[in-house]
Amino acid sequence: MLWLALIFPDLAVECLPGLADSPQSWVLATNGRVLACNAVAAAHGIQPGQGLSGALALDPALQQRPPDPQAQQQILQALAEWGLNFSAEVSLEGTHTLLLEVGTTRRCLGGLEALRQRLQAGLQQRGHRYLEGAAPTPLAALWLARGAPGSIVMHAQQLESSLQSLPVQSAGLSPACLSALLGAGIECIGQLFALPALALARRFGPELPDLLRRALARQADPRLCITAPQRFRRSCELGYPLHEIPRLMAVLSRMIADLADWAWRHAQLLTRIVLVLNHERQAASRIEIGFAGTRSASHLDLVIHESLQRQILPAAVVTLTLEILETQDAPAGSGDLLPAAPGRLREGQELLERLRARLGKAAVSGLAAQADHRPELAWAYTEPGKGGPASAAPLAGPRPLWLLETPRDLGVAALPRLGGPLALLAGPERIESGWWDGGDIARDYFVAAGPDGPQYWVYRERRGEGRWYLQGVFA
Amino acid sequence: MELLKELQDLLRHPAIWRGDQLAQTTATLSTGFAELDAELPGGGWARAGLTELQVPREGAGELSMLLPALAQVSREHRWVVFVAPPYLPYAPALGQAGIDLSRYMLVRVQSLESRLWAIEQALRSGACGAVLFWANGLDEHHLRRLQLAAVEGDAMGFCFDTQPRQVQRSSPVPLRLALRPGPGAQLDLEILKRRGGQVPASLRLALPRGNPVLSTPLPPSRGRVGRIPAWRSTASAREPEGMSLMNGPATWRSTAQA
Repeated sequence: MLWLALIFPDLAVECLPGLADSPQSWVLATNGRVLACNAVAAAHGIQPGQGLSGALALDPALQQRPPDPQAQQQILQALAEWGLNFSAEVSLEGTHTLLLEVGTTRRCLGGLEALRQRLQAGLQQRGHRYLEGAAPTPLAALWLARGAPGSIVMHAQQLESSLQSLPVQSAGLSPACLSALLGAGIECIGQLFALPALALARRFGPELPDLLRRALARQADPRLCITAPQRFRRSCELGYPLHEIPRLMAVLSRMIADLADWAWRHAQLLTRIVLVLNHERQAASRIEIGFAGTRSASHLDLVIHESLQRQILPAAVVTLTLEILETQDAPAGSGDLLPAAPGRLREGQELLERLRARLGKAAVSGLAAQADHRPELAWAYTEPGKGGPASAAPLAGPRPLWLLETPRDLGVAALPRLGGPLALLAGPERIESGWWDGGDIARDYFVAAGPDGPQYWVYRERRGEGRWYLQGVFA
Repeated sequence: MELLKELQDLLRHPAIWRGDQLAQTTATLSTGFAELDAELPGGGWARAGLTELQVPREGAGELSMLLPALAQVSREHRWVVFVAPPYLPYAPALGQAGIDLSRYMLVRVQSLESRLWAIEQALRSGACGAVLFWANGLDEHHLRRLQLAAVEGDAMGFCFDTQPRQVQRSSPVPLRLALRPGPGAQLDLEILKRRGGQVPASLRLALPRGNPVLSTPLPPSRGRVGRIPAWRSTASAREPEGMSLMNGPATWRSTAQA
């Protein structure tokens, strides 16, 4: 067993992203005391534990709000779920701390050092400051993280010697017990080990020797582990109304990383998600996004970003909620190690989703050939990827690569005129079709060349006054 | 003699470049025209990178010239993307040229900013074999960015510029061509810049269009269109040695070099 303790000392501020990233100085305060402050306030010299009036003297523009224990618990829970990427046993300790059992999983993840590096990278990306400690028992890991952050003890035999020098405050005792210990002149944990257990129990309560035995692996210390939820729904209270897209995206990208994680853990591909943005005194904005099946965080991030940019937000956002509406089972063995899907279909789909998220659905399309003799009906817009192979039947005559959406009138003279008269090179190809659906045409098609070289596809109406029209360009 | 042969073998190493050679690029795709392949570094379009095509006027044959390469790209199941073309690409003609329409994407976008964004996304995605885009007046900064995206995404980018500047400024695009319509179904092509630092060259390519043949004395008198004789297929009247789309795009013929 090897336990890794992660303590998040600034979680109370970090769980309110609007406040943590705010350019103004903010503090969380209750009963006239500063509990936590953001970086701007800290730069003014404000410290947690200070009186609120003292803090206001340091920065008169200081803003304050009460802490939000619910948001804090929620973000700790999210972190614990993310921790499941590193360990099968993750437990919450109090309101600031996670305990991960990494002894069994570190080998799959390339050793303890590699695991710690990945943790560090992940937490840095999420914007959390943390302290860590590792030891064979959860309590010892926790004490190390508090008293000597960053230290690692690998073997149970070394526990006693490595815990000895830690201050007694790092044991997380009740205030009454702590003051009694300090009053008795006991300042480090090593002094506790030297005292007989019976005497300790009598003077400081029976919990203390019990705690020491568990820390030194002399008594079992079972923990309640979290399980990953079957549904993904995450909301985030911003703490401070935001309307700038980049700052919203900064908050969202953490949720998106969790979303992608969830999909990987459950072997699912996301097909439909919804993002709900709540505003003050306005109806919530709801953005539904469909995918062809993805779980790549970077792709999700891009598509959500573009969708958000297209959305007109009626007011600043106070709460963000990201929820999965539909998923599909990921095909077995589609890990990153294997070669990409045949025909790069997946990348094509991702490109399509990205383009549509920004440009709109109609801006991106595929083309398909249709079995119709009328040139303007011989093609159709279609979903990209659905175009199908061209029909094997050869075309009846030369066809241009460019088509004019509406044919251009070239006059009624003997020869079509575009600038000057055009020379007819080939034709006629007579197309008469469509009498059954009202789109009746009767035309003679020619290939014509202008004086300066380009070749055009022109036709002459066989009805009325016999006008010439330009319908295509041979490019 | 033995020594000379060894030396020649040694000099064939891809890392050695001699002054009289065209640059060797890593991967190329045949243009489908032997004459043009011979003039391009590596013997074809570079698989990853931009090519600038200056076309003062649409209809020079600029698209026909790319069809063999595009058909090859779609045979490899990679996407062919057109961004903001000036006219509607005609699906039956694309299909006949061998382009798999199930790997074809058309992006219609107006503003230059969105256009550049879409081009960059397509080039960088890794899904696209060829991205054709129509954008005039891109500056050096834009082109450099797109060139990097193309190299990163392993895609060929063809930039059509219909308003080439008179004054040539430095450009990060490795291959620049100027196209003009030639007589008949031919294309006059001038290589303005290519890797390997050779002097500009110009050639004339015969385009793979069904050589048009006029089947009747024309024009018919105005308003009396009924006088045109019975419809005659241009295919039957085609010159025997002419290449056409209907024969399948195996090898394209190219006529005398200018």
